[in-house]
Amino acid sequence: MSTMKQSNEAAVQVTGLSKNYGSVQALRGVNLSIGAGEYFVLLGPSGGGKTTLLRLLGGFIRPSGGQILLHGRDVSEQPPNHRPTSMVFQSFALFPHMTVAQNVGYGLRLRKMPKREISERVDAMLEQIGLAALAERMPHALSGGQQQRVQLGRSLVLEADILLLDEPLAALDAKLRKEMCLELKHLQEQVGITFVHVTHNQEEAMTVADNLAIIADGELVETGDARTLYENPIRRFTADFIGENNMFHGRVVEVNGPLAEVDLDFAKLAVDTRGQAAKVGDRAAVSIRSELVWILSPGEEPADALQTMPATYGEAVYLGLATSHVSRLANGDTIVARQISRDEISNAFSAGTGITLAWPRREMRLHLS
Amino acid sequence: MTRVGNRVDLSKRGGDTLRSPVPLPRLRLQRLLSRLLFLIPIVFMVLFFALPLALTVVWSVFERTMFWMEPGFTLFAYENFFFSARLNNFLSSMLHSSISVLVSFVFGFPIAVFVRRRVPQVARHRVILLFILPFMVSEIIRIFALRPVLQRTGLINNVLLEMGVITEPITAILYTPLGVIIGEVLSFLPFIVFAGFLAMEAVPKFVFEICDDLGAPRHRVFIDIILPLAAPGIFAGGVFIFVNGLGVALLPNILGGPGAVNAGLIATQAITALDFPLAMAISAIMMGTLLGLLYLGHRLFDLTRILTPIN
Repeated sequence: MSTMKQSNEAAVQVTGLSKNYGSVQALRGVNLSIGAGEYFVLLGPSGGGKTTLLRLLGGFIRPSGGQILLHGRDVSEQPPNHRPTSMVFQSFALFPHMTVAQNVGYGLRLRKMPKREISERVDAMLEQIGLAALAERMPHALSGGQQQRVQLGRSLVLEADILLLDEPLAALDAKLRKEMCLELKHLQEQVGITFVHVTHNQEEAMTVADNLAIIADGELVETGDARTLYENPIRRFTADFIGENNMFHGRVVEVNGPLAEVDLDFAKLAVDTRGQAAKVGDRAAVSIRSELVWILSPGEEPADALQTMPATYGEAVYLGLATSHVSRLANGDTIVARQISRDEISNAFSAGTGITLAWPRREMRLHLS
Repeated sequence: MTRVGNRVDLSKRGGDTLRSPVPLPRLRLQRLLSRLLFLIPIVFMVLFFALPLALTVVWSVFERTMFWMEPGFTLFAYENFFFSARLNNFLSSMLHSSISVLVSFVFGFPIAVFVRRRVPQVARHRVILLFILPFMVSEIIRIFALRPVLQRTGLINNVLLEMGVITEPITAILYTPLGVIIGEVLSFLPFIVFAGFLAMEAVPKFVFEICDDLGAPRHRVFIDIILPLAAPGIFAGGVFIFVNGLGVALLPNILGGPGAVNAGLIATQAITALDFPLAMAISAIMMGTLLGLLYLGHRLFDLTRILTPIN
């Protein structure tokens, strides 16, 4: 298998792609480019259109509009087997009446490859996915993770350039899912082909992805690598969907160089526009990650770089590693301060106490859309 | 806070139960009744199904008397069956039943596959229901209605004569094995549709998507995937048709003729002739055939898989 990691060629180039089911628009004018050799994740809530996009790439459904180029070739009207793609379904998607080896080799058998060559390739693939010892097992005698590996083998043995993975780990339990995530990532690095992976699980997405696209309501919301989307999201939806963010809603009342002043009725926040064209009167949201918010000790003087806000303490929710302190702002909205669990903070406040919250000003993010 | 309130309510309800429990004898009675609910059908089936069938074998070696039979041991009934035209009739009715199974499969299974793959989920069971409707008409009427269609001066012959396709009426379609086979397919086709549909329900939808992804041509999908996965269901439907083809006397009685007699009709005739040991022997032979088929099928396909979609 060729290694073409992160070359400039686009493996997937999608323009204006739409899909309607009757009057329902499952996908609306999506533009997307995925580089060859990239591990790309389509992340979004259920019913948002990410699986529709993947199935359009694989050729299982026909687009209502737009174009799909795979490695520069227009495949919009091509059936699945005429595309340089191979699909991995959820973990139980195996032929139940065939052994592991037969499952992996069936695609090659359809290509009328000589029997010797099939068994050589299947053996090599089983070796690679660590199932050589289970070649003669039936799928029902395998664990969920093993079944998923057989699926991967069945797809990879065809040497497609692009592997499409439709919620591949959804049927696995949390612990196994974590392990399989890393395995997938390492496997992709080994084989060097493009992986396009659909999931609604944020942690899974961030573990495996070189780049992600957030897809919701049939639209592509935002693309970027995991760190960018987590720390520096542009769209309001992204900030709401990724991580755990506190969100304030208001209007831009003043634009002053790189800073926009947003009026929340009960407070005013000066936020970096990050290059967005903010105009006075625009509706705007300001977000701050909950782990960057903390409660000032009584009498503590906040540093200049900190934004402070008065609030009424509500309750502490213990989550193991972190504790979420939920408070109410002057307008009744909740705000969460998430801190590493320590007894002295967790037990320090009782419900109804007036407190002051603080966070670094430069970490606040303005969202105009 | 509501949660706390609920919890209080629950504990209160628990306390009430403790204070006024259901009287113990009534509880015992309930348990007994629920056990009887399962026991009664079992007793019924043993008494009226398993026992008589076992006794068939015993009775088949009894001595024949004028109007009934008396205890004894003789293989005369079996001799009477195996060394007469009855054996030939039995064997040819096996052949005709096999043809009916084959024709029913060719007609019926594609319907099952079609319904599973192309009919939307909501409409699927309605379409299958259409195949139950013929059963609402009494079988004897359904079969008898074939006569005016198939007979010498019947619908088919008249139409063909009028069109000039034939000059002499075709007599080969009624009172012949062909007539019986037509009747059997008509009567039993739904069973292969049901069995096939059930078998196809057990084939997960993703299987077809994998096939699309791999670019499997239709005939390969059918041979490599659908047939092996649906085999237990098809086999069960096939056995049902085969056994009924052997056993239902009504069909050859109305549609058959000299060369078209099945085991059921032979047994009926034996009963009419008051030769009860012979009728018992024929029943025993049919039962043996069925058990042999089921054993074979179970070894080949594991028939418990028929019920997979219900799990």
